[in-house]
Amino acid sequence: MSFREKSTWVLLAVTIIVYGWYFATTLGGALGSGTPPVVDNVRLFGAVVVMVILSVVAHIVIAILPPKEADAADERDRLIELRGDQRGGSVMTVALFSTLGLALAGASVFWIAHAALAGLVVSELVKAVTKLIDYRRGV
Amino acid sequence: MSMGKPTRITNRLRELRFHSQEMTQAELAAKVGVTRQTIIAIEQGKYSPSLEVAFQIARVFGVPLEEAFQYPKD
Repeated sequence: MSFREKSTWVLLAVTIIVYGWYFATTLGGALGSGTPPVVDNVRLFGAVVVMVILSVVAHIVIAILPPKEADAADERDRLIELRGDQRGGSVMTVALFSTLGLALAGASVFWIAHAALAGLVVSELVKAVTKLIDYRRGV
Repeated sequence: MSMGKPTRITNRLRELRFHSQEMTQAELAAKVGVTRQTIIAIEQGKYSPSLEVAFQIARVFGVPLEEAFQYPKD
C-alpha cells in the first residue's frame, strides 16, 4: 500500500472517529431539547484541533513504519487525488446550497453552522472513500 | 460513482523485468520515478501510465514503446 493510500485510510478513520463522536454527542442533545440549541464553540473548535493533532500523529507513525515510502506521490496518486476532489467538490456544492436554504428559511445559527460542518465532513468522507476505491479498483 | 475505466492497453513489463536480470518492481519504479504501487497497478492492467512514463519504462529496457505496451488492432 502506498503512503498516499495509507494516508487516505488515516484521514478516513480520524474523520469518522472525531466527527462521529462530535455529531453523536452534539446532535443527540440538540434534537431532544425543547429550547433552541446553542453552538458550543469550545467543543466545535476542540473537535477540529483534535482532528488535526490525531492526523499529524498518525501520519508520523505511518511515515516511520516500514516500508519507508513516505510522501512519494506520482502521476497515479495525483490522478486519484483529482478524481477524489471532483466527487468531494460535487457533494460540497450540494451541501452548500442546502445550508443556504436553511439560512434563508430562518434556521438558527446552531443548525446553519452544523449543516455547514456536516457538509465539509461528508464531502471529505466521499473524497476519501472514492480515492480508496480508485486505489483498489484502478483508474 | 464511476467504475475504473477498463483499459485496453496491455503490457509485457513482467516479462521484460525478468529478462533484465530479474529487475524488481521497486527497481523499475525507482528508475522511472513512480511508486512501486504504480508499477504493480500497471502490470495488473489497473492503470495506464502517461505517455511520458510509458516511454521512460520502454527506455529502461532499451526497447521500442510497442514492445513494452500494446494496443489491440480492432
